[in-house]
Amino acid sequence: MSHTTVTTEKGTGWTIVRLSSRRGLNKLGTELLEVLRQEVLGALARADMRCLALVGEGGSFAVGADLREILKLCPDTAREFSDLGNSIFRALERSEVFVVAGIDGFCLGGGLDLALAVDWRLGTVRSVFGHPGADLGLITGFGGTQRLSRLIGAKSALSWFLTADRMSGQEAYRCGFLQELCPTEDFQSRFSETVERFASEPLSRLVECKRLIGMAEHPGMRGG
Amino acid sequence: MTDRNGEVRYEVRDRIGVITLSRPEKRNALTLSMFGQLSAAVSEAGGDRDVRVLVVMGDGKDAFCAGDDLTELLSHDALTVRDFLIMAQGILTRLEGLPIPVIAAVEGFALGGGLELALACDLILSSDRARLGLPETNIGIIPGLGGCIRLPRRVGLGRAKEMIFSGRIVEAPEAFSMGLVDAVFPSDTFREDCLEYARKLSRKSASSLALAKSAVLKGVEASLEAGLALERESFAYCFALPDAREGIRAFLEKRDPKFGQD
Repeated sequence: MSHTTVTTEKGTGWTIVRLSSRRGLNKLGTELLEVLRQEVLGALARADMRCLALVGEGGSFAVGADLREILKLCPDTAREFSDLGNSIFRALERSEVFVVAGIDGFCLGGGLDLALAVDWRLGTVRSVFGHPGADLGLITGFGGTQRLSRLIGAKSALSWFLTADRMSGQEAYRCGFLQELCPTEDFQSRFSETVERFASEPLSRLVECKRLIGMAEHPGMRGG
Repeated sequence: MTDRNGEVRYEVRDRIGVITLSRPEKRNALTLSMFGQLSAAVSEAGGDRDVRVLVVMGDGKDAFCAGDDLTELLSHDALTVRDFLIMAQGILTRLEGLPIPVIAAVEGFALGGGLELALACDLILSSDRARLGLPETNIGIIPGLGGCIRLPRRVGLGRAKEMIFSGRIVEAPEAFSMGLVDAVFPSDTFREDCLEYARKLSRKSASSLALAKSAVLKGVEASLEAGLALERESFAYCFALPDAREGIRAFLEKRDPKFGQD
């Protein structure tokens, strides 16, 4: 039974999708991902959409699935689980909408993968980033190894996966993972401002940049 | 004629392989013979399932490696520059392709071929006194052992161009802030800090490390779609291996995992 829920709030040109949990961290298990998929695809299909923002409440953006659920996977079901996450993350990445993540708290494993699929990451100084796979006998299944290496360079990304270290907001900002870093107490106002800003930009310009940068994503251009 | 054997030492302790470049009077500059010994050490580490992490370091506090000993290399009549580059690049590519984490422990200078050797490693740890650079353009040549290819993959195109065009030497704090080195330790405790770092990695899941390494390094050469497919298959494969069950159970039972106790 998933304790994490998804709520959606709509305004002029924007949709905010909130993850929150009655207790504990926001976990991206199968059940939650199915709901998130509906909400995200619905929001992306809105005619006047310019900015879709994802935000986690209660001390985490998101972490991976509940490990009790992961423990039950076999190679075939693991592949299906990976496909489910990838279908959402790929839709975010390919959409002609500007996608923002507001990160205040834990952003680990599958939650890190989700943050990597968006266009703009705002994070607080108290946030914690990383992928614990090497301590769990796993690797990530939602694109983290691919998108982090394209974002910050292959060898820098590799150090995240090999050490399984937890990075601070400051470190995530230094290496280019976060585009915007803010004090924890300013998070709500900065998040609202960021959403407003991108929702009021002419979408065509942002989407054109997104499309061109996507096109530049060929193997020769992967510096970091 | 000095005995050249022993200028690259290889030893294994506590599942950690250590390659030491030892020609301190020449700042550990690489000779043809040293490349041969390096190649043998890479093969030995790659063939030993007990070795979980490989560390490459220089002998002494002066230098990790000040580059290739060009005078020595070009004194071999039969060896053209191209032959040498093909041979040496092949050794660095094999080092990079080992299915275990490879760490460069940089104390003092890592210049030219020395930095290129470090760039072929997965992680670069440096002392607070390290100085790194690709000064080849200052003497009318270019980095020939992968520096032009691997530096941009670590620090981004802009910063790589700046370093290669200027040939300037970067000190540890700047190297850390630009992402060229992954961690900086005090010079006094550097060797021990690096070995402790390696021990930490040696206790992690060897299969996770190998799969993550190949997903990142192979994936980045492919299209995003192909990379995602590779990662998905690697993720699925984790569930056919013993480490995932042990790692997850250990986490749920709030204990340290015991990987690879086979």
